[in-house]
Amino acid sequence: MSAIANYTWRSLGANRVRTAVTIAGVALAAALLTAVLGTYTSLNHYLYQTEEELSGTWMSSVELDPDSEPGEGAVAADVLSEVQAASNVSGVATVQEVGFAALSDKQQDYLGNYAAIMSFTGELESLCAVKPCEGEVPDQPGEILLPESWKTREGTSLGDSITFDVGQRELIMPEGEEDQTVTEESVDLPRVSEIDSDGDVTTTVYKPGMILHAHDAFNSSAEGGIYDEQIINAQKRSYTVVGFYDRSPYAISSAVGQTCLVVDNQPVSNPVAVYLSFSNVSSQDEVESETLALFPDSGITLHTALLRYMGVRSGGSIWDTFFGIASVLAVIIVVACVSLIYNAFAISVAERSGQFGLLASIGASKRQLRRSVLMEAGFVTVVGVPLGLLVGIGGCMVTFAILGPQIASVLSISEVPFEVYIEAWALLFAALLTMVTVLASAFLPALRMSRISAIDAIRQAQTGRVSKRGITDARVCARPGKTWKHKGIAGAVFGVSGQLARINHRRSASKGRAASLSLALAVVLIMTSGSLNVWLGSLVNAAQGSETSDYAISASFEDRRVDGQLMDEYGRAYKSLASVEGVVGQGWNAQVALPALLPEQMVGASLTDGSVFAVAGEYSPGVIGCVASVDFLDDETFDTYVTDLGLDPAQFDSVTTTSAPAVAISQGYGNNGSVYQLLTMLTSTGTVQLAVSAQEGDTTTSNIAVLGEEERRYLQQGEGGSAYPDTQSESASDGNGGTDTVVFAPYYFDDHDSQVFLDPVQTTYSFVDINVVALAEQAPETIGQGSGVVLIMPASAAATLDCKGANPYFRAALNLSPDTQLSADEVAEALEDQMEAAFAELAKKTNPSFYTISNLAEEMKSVTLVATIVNVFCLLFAIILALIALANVFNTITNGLILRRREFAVMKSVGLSAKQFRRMIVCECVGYGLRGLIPGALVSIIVSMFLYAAVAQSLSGMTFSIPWLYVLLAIGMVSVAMALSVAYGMSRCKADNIVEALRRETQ
Amino acid sequence: MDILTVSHLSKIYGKGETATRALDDVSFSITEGEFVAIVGSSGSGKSTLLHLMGGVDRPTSGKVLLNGQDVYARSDEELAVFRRREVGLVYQFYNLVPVLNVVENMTLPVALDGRAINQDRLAGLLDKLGLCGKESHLPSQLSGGQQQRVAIGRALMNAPAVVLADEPTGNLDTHNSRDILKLLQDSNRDFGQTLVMITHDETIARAADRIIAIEDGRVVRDERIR
Repeated sequence: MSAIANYTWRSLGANRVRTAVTIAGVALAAALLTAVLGTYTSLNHYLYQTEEELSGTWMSSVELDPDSEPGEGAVAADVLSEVQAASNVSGVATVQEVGFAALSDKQQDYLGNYAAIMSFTGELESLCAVKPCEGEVPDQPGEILLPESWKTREGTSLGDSITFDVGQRELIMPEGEEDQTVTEESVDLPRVSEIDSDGDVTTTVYKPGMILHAHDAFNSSAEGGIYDEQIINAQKRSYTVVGFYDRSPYAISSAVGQTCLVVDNQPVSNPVAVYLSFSNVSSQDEVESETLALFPDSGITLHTALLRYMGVRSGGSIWDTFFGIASVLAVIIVVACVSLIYNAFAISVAERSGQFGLLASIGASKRQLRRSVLMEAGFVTVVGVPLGLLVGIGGCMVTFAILGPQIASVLSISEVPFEVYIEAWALLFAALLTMVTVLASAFLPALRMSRISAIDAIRQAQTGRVSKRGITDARVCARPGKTWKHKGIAGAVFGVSGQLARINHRRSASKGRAASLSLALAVVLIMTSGSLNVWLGSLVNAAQGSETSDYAISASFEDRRVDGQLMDEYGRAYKSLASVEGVVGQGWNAQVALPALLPEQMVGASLTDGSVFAVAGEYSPGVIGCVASVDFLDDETFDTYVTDLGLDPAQFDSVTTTSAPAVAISQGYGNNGSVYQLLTMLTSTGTVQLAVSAQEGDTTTSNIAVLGEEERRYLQQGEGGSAYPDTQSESASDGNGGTDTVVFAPYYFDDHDSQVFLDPVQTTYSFVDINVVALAEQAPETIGQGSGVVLIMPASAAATLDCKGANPYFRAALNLSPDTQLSADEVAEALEDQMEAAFAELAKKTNPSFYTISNLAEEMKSVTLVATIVNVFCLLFAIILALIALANVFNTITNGLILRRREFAVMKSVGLSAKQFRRMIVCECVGYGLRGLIPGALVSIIVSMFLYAAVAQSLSGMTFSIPWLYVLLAIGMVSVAMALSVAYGMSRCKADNIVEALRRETQ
Repeated sequence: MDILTVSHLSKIYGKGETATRALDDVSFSITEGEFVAIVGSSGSGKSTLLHLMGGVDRPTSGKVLLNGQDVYARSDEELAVFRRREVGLVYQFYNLVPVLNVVENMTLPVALDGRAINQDRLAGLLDKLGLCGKESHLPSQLSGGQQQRVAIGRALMNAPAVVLADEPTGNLDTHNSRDILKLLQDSNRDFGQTLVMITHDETIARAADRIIAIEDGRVVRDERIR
């Protein structure tokens, strides 16, 4: 070992604690970088595997259309051998349509419109992810691979023989319309336009007689289409079943039914899709040009998702965001670590500057001295980096082992497990970045040190701590009578100890700047990760939505209107549902939509300015017309709700046939132009008129639509006999695009089921008056926060009030009982079973339009899971960053004290008592603290505001508040770290007595 | 009258096998106003003896009495007060506080004691030490000789019972050495200041009233010259 190496080794040993803290810092940096990059590569690998499993490893595909290139007659086998010969192609597969076979009506329910028969060549299994769940992929002509439905629904098994009438799909006119001629110019002909890679638009016009392929949708006039289709040129083909598959990947998907795969050597003049993969491609453009080289003038489909996960990069916004977040985190880590490591080396060099001077004076060259510092850096790197890589990988493994299955369940439907997958480049990058950080941090102080002359270095070790400003300050304080007179706040509080601390701060060259800076940085780092937690958390919480019940059951029954009888029946249905074991009822309501008129002064601007989706606008001067949602809430829930609002439930008993009191909701969700948020819908109480019927001559109807200008224009343009007679819009429109005008449009259905509108001028309306006695911001849980005008009344009011509301929508809110042993899913199933019984009485009278159950608890679970994952990652990140920051504080403060050991000994030898010494140090620390924590806290609040602004872009209705908890936590943690550092530093100063301290540096 | 009595003083550094006996049962007394030179080779224990007399270290056994009072019967806090008021220490390497200017360094013990500064005494000392005009200088702006004068000023500022100097001229050239020695001698003669000085220098030792020679932690010679 050379002399310099020996010296370096010893000096590292002499400062074991600092060396350990520095190594820990380097290791943490490497660990964090590894974890961030490892998460990135693991996720990437996971997504790649998922994509591989679901769609295969093909990179590009081309469709060869033999119809358009007669003579060339694409023969799959020829294509295959030609392409395989090309270098750079690592895999190829072709899929060619053989034809379609008709299926029975029953079969169509689960197999699709046809059995689509396709023939393939090449590596279909790996390239296109065709994987049999039973048996194998055919390799001989006459063998067939079927979708699993054939096995489960048709009872087909391996080895069975199966025969299809395979033909082509032809587009035909529906029966009875065959004589109609169709020309290219017919406006209504369905057409599909595509833009090819050269930017040319090709439009396919669908005409009778056309042959359709697998990707063309099924045509049926009975289902509202213009055409029908038929199978022509059908031939019998028999196959032996060799396998079943259960998942249909992209390559063998068809628009008209499940695909059956065969190996058919017969050339068929049908489109051939070629799937390709290449070796040695680094960009999407390369994949594209390689493909074009093989198949000029072909439309190319790229497997963009796979290419992205392979690292064959192109702009993909979400992917860029993901990579961006990883980069930002890496930058934060590097900043935190540079500050820690740089500080550690600066201290190490400063501490040894006297020794370096000495070494230089006895002939050590500058290079040798620099080498000593760099050797120290090298040692720290060699120990710290591998340790960090191990910790990082281990951390990822533990985290993924715990969260992996859940992450996988949120991210995809595939069976691919989410595991740690760290690519070599990530490890290398983390190691190199840390190494560069350490070397750069060590090199700067080493360079600075080697520039100082030997004797200056020796002298500096003893006296060189004073700044230029300190010299001026010293001059002022030397005038007779002025000595020890400038006390400052520190002196006033701490006496002579405070004065000494104050003088030290004013005059010393470093001014404890390193300490203050490290404190500020620590606060900023802790606060930043804290705010990240807060704002990301609120983002996730917002996604979780407002509190809802665990289960929601909705139902509606044909031809029913709101009345007392229906309410009773709904009440009984609810009771039946709530009696299911493990369920706690939260209430029910019946909701109808009715045309409403409101005095203008009741209405908030948001209702009419286009922020809400519902139609609302000026009906007549000073009156706003809209569709109101009228909710009849079960009495028990209603009473609780109004009591919570500070109202007397008895207030709502005064119901007549034409009037009733109600509570209205003042706030509803709307889009203010950029974000979705709560807006003010109503501003004051008042009377809302609900239009319950319209009369024109002898015609009376309760169907009253509310139409805005746009709807009226649409109706006036005329769609077969439903022309809407508008006489009002001209005069009522204000013409400046502001508030829309609305009209009521009563209608009925004639004998032919056509909609007939009454003449608006001749029509008179009957109204019921709803007296809004109170406004509430929050809607009851059962109803949920809506949009537009929401009026809430007790269900019992429906018996008296004649509102004629049609098709009332029943909604019951139910929670999972906290006491039940049953799982959420079991209860959901029990509820589902109970529904039929609960609605039996209602269903006996009229048919149900629908009834359905939403398992909100289940939906919530996956959202909560995402929230947990995000929070765990944020927390881990915060903890490690905090550790780095605190290690920095510890290093700086401890060494700041140890460096001044001799100075303290001098003071003690002339009579500084232990108490005075402690006070002096405390005073200095308070100084560092104030100078570090206050700016640190301010900067963090600004950072926090930026983060808030970023989150607020996609979420609003959220107000900025300083995350005080994190401010306190950050200041608390930093203060504790400071206290520990001081305690350790002082114990180091005390450990050697005055004599030894004095002697230490003079030898 | 004996101002300082050292009685059966021993000091052992370290423990077990590495234990070093720096002082071994040393006893002597010093009379008020006396100028004592302590001589001995390197590592003989003379610095340890001086530090024990100055209250900056604690003995393993034995006593130091100043004005009849046991120095080491005091608590650490009282010992700090003792160092401020009763003794003045001068070191070979000056040991000034780098951020304090000349007058602040000189008056630090008074300030630590919370007492008012005797401006006349300060002015007198500055004049005598040849530091007039240098009051506002920081240690880094002074030469070695000047720094040592500040250190002597600090030792004398409180008019302590004893001034203890550890090779105060060891780091200085001949000219400066002579000046520093004269300063100490003058204060000894003019103010009757008791002075104990460690030295290697035969010439300086000969200027003293009494020479105590230490070898291997023991007093080997105690000789009164005047």
